[in-house]
Amino acid sequence: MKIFSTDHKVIGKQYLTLAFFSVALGIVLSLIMRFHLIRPDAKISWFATLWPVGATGGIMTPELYLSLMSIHGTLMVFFVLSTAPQGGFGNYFLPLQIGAPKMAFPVLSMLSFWTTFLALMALLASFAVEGGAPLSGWTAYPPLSALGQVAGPGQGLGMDCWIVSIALFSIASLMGAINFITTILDMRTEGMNLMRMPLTCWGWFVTAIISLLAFGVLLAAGILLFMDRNLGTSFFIPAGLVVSDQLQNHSGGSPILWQHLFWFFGHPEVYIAILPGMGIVSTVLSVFARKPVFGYRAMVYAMFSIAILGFFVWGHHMFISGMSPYSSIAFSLITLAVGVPSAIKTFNWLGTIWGGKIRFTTSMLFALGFVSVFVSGGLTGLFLGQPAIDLYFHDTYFVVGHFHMIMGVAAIFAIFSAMYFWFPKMYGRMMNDNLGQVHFYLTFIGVYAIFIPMHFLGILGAPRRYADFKELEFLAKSGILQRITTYSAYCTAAAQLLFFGSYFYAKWRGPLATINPWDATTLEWTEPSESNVVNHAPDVYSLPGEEKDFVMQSDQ
Amino acid sequence: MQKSKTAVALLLIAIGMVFASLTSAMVVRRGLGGDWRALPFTALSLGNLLILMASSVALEFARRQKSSGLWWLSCCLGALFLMMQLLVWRDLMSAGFNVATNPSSSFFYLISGLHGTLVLGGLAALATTRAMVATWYWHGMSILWMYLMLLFQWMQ
Amino acid sequence: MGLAILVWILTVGVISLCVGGVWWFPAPISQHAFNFDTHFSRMLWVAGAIFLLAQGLLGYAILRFRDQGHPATHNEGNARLEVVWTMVTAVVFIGFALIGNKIWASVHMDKSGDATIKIEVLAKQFSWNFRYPGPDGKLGRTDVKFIRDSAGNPFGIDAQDPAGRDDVISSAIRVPRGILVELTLRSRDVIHNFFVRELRLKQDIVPGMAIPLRFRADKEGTYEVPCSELCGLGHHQMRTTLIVMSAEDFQIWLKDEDRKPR
Ligand code: HEM
Ligand SMILES: [Cu+2]
Ligand SMILES: [Cu+2]
Repeated sequence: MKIFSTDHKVIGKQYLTLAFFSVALGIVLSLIMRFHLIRPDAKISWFATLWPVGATGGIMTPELYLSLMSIHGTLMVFFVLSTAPQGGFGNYFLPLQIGAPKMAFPVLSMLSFWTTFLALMALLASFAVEGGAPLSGWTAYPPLSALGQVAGPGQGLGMDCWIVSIALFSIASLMGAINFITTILDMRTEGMNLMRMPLTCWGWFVTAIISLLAFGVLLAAGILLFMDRNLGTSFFIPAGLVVSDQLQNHSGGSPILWQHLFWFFGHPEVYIAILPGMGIVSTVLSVFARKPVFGYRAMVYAMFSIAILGFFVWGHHMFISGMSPYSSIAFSLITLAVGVPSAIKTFNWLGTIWGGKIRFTTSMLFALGFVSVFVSGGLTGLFLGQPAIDLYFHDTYFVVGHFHMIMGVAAIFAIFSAMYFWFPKMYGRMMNDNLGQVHFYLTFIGVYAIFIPMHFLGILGAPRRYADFKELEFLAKSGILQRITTYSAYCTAAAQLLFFGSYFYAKWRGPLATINPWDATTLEWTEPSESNVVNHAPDVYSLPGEEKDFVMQSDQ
Repeated sequence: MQKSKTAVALLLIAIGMVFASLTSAMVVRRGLGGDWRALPFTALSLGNLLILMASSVALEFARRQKSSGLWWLSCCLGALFLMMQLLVWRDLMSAGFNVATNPSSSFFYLISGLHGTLVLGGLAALATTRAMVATWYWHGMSILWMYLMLLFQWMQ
Repeated sequence: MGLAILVWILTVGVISLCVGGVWWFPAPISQHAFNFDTHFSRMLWVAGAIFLLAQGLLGYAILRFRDQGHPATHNEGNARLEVVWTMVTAVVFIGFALIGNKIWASVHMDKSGDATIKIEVLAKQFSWNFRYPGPDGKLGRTDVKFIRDSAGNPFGIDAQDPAGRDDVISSAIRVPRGILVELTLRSRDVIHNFFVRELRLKQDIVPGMAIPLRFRADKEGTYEVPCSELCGLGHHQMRTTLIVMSAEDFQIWLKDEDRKPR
């Protein structure tokens, strides 16, 4: 396999590998965070080995906690949820599903992957530079993110690494978006008109449109932030700041300007994470319920309305930010309006399985699980979309619970569903269904056990991004919630080993797959599966005991 | 080829979004308070806009008449534009406006720098291909600069 | 099959955690907080019903339509049904937003009533300072160049300005019960956030801005104020308390503080 390949299947797998690496690292970081939250004073010798400065003597400092949190969030949002469903499965299956021989611009696909790879390296480099990784979260609000090292250890070089990483990622995503849209518009095979495309393709299409419009804004914002930090400009930094007793030499900028730019990108970003998943789930539900998708057209329109409305709701992240209270009202109305197409999709998913003949493959289980967590996470969004309720919940663990459910877990479930579904096509072998079932059940129970308690911490008022809660008296009785969350996280993470084990076993040793193991109808299943394995001599005809008078080289 | 047309149209949209967000940032930043200072634009920058537009016109004729000479003329005008932009920068600096002097100059250096980089990319494209879409991109950059000059005038 | 039951168990579990109320809001101490709670429980009922319905149906469909050898129905959708549920959700969701906005408006747009007590809040990495005008009712002029934490002047009060000499500075915020208070929130470095759970109020404090926030607390007591916007490595330690006292005690405190030499 060539490393700098222009083959869309190879690139798809490269994206998936990058995403799997990132998700594994992201989970490890989250486990360390969760450990710290229940045992903030623990002395762990290997912490000191890994982070001699951040954890001198093995006791984690608050700045290290915040760095882990920032990198965890950035990895998960960008390098997992914005790569696996789109760059990974999209590159691999879009051409197959619309009957195109390849992506419109294979070299561009390759460049976009390798730029993403560089972006990941830049992000990880932040751990190695002086001061360590940035601590201002995945949202990087200035002035905290703009002032440099005076604002915290990771805010020096580490923060610059973060900006470079995000800028590279934006450029890579723009390349990907152009490639995807062009492929869908110009490369469909005969008879594949738009309204005959599988919903997966619609998911990739709409996501690519959103990326095209959103990532440029993030790129621009990143450049402005970089200039504030390194060239002495004052876009986001107001005058007269005194940080650590030093008067800062800036004038007249606005921290809220960053928030507007960031969330103008950031809200559409959550749809970038979830729309391909919605497409995948629609497809999988229909395949395994043996029924057409309920309301295909409504599903397509819903995706488009989500995409369009999604560009006008960014202010719901800023109700409490000091922006005009009048604009909050407008933003909240549009926010609840964007809930409507999301609800429609849920109804249509139920409609799809209603009256069906459901086969509970692992892929189907994850799709059904997706619907469940999507409902659970979506309903809390109804609360957070109202400025009145956000007066209490903004930046509490309620928000952390909400977005993990609807964005994190839902999208991860869609990725798993897709992985179990397409594995036979990608590797020509079957994953073990029993292991898959166990993996699903452990994960499904696990995510509820991790993230539901977080909602209750939020109801108690626990602020997010706290390195520990020792000092808050009102949380004295909530230790049990923290412990449930942490132990559930350990178990759920351990259950993922099952997936990785099963994945690698199946890749090399799994039983061979037939061309269309799920009796599905889309074009990718008309092609021979990846990696045809040759099992015997080329000329096996009229073998006694065989039904047919020929046995293909790939048959067993 | 249809797909390269689609791709260049999309590329222009993506570039448009970058400048649209910089525009909105600029409007907001200027509205924040009294520290915004007008930039001393000279005839040079206006003349330079004309050069870029002339380059676009030449390119359009080159495409229609399949004239290699005009094509190269357009490229030369484009290169001239870039050099003149550097002169505009030098003038601004000698007038005391550096990158961090004032938000107006910060935005100007950033925006003209970004645009210049994109024009440089366009020049590379024009030098290597005669494809119709290269002319689209080039016209896109001319129109973008016309818009940006209007914006800077309006932001004075 | 198992999945259906599991979905139901989780649904019932989540609902009973809400009903159980072991981990719940603290008691409200203002009219606004009370209104908030009313609106919240109204929302919770509706959202809870939708939750029960959706998860219930999901479980039911999983159970009822599992492969038992029966043929699946062929059904590509139902336009009328589609329109109906679109309309219904739209009305419910937008209705929520409209009702909730009244509460929002009462916090941020209602300018009726004079706040007799005005307090300036200054947040900085990682501590709080509150400033009250002394007997003259006026806050003194400030300038960043006078800021000297070590000299007890975090605000940078200009010593030349007579109005500033009697200003009272405190690291916890004290307010009289039953009286409308207006805070002016300012930050010296990065974004912080002022949050009092019992008041159901939260507001970012943005450097370069002076953001007003008004409330009337009706119950005496001491309430924690945790900083609720990431402000750096000491974020989790940036806490203070809101002390609601009787009006008399408040005046006594203010006078005593004023007499202390600064
Ligand atoms: C084992 C699973 C996971 C666990 C235990 C976990 C845990 C956590 C914890 C403890 C925090 C920090 C909360 C705080 O201190 O405020 C956090 C933040 C975050 N997580 Fe996760 N997480 C998991 C998976 C995910 C996934 C799949 C995503 C994908 C979207 C994700 C996205 C985020 C984001 C965006 C943040 C916010 C970072 C910030 O505040 O800037 N997490 N997570
Ligand atoms: Cu949003
Ligand atoms: Cu803080």
